[in-house]
Amino acid sequence: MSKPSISFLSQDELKAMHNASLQVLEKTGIKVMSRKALDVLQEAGAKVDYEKKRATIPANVIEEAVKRAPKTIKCCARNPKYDFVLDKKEIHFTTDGYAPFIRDFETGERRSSTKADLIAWIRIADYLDNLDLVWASVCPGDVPAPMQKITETIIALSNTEKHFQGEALSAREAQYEIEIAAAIVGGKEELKKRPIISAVQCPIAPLVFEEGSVEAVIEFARVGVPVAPLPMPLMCETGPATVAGTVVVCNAENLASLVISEFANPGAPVVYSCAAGGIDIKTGSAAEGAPEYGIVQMAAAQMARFYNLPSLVCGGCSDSKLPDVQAGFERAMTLTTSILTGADIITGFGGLNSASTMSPELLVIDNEIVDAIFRVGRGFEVNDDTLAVEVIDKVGPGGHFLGQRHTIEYFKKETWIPGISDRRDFTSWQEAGSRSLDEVAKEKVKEILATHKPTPLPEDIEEEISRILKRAEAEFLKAS
Amino acid sequence: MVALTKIKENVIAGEVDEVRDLVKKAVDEGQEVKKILHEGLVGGIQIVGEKYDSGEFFLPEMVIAASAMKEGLKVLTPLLKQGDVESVGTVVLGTAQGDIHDIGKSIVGTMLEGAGFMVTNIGVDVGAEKFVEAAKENNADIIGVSALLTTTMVKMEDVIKAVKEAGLKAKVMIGGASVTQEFADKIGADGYAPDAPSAVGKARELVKK
Repeated sequence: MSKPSISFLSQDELKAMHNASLQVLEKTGIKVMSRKALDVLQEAGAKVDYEKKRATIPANVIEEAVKRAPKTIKCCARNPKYDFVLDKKEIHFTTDGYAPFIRDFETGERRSSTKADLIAWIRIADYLDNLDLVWASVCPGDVPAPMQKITETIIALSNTEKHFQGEALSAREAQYEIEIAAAIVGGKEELKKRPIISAVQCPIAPLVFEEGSVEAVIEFARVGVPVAPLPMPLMCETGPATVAGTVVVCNAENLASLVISEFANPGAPVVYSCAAGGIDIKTGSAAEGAPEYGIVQMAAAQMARFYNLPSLVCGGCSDSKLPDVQAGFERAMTLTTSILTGADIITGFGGLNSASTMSPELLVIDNEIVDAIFRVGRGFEVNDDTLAVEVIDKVGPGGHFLGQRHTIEYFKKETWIPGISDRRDFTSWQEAGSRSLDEVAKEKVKEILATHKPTPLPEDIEEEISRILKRAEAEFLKAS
Repeated sequence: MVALTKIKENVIAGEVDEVRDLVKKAVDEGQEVKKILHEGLVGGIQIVGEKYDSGEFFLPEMVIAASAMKEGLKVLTPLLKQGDVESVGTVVLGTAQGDIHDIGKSIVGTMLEGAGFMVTNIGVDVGAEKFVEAAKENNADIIGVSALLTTTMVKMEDVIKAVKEAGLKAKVMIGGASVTQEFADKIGADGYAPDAPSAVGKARELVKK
């Protein structure tokens, strides 16, 4: 069956960007703020300057790392029905992030996000059927800073049965998050077989690996928790002004992180990823609703296939401050390009203002948009039955197909049925309240929060997690 | 004789080497240093500012023009007498402790320089004491603290406390993707700006007080 798919870069172009990345890594190299990570790189065969905290990586080391990396990754969930595999067969969506602000769906006010906001967010994500995994999209700003990431992990795993993709800003944080996940699945060995968490660990473009984050990469690599390095060079600022150049920086960061993972633990699961894009060239801030954002993701997805690695790209954010027409067109544009190019994971639902603000209504709206685009992406089958020559003859000129068995057999597969989009005639729509899509989505959010109760963790596991949390608090809060 | 308008044009075009060479030549020719500064360099950067405000120029053009001006200024500074240059103010800029994000703060620095401020960039992951030290050393009017992460913006309050304890006259300005006016008010910062262009306006306000 033919499916529409975008794949516009030639093998030569992909190879050229690959070779350019090799040159960058061999000549310019990376800055790594962690001695531990520099040790891993040196042992791997990189040239390391401990004083300057720099490493250059030769091509043969990178090739070896790509060879070692698993080509498919299983992401598990505390409810196995939500397990999925990154094997290029399907796209798995997550929520956007990480935002310090939320657009309050009751009042429309933009305010700092809280623990309660995150809990509600995860519950909505647990409900929506096009989300296969979740991010801790809004920061629990009312939790002391050193405890925010661990709290996010606990809140996510307690309020959804789906896979959680978190983040750790230090080796110790990573260790606590691993412990929490292991408590749920029944131990570290079990977590290796069934990783119910994965982690996004961003380098700082261009080419800098922060101490805490890269040491967390090593911790996750060692226990088999998948890591998505998620580079984010922005054209003109932290990446070259050209798309190709920014893809090269993104690629180089991916490959460097891959080397660290694969030489910390051969066979460590790594997801080739990309959050790179462009900026608003007036003010310099990130512009995640921009078309160049879309095209960089398309390139990254094709680069991932070039290496035959599992992939994660972005799609669907917006620079608008509210769920309006700008939000609609920007997210639909980059969702279409990312979905039709194809990646294993696409982030994410719910983002506004370049992911600095999350909007619960947009979780519901994005679920709908993605559903519609998936229909486009499914293509259609051409065979004797679908060609319908017999039923066309049966119906004849001037007849209709509504009452036909053939129609009954196919209509649900072929025609997309919207969830919340309104297609009524004007009068019916007016009589029903003349509501806009964001108003309908707001009502849906209220409904989900009132009625959907995610399966809680078993009591004994909750208690175990409580004990882990107390230890983490004692460690992280005592010094501050 | 080097036409000062040529220096001005090259500032506007962001031609770093050209500006340096032309300024050197003008100095060697014996042209008045103050005139080179005002008509060549400052004149150029003023036009850049106007073009930016009108939407003709964007951030990359602002930054490269400011680099060109800075390069010309390096040549002139040792030759300028006290009182020749009315510096708008002195700013010490750094990223908060635990945070190594740099680009936003650097853009603010460049735009402040373009507006006539003396800027010292003290780097990333800077502790409160270091901010105070640098402010003292540079006799700063403004201390600018930047942070991207929600986990590091909490350190901004430490800088404000340290500045108060040291009895410095410097005003503390903060910025970063997670920072808001509300947060700035809460921790007692003297100023906040949401992006680099408005940071310049805010800084001008603060030095007037």
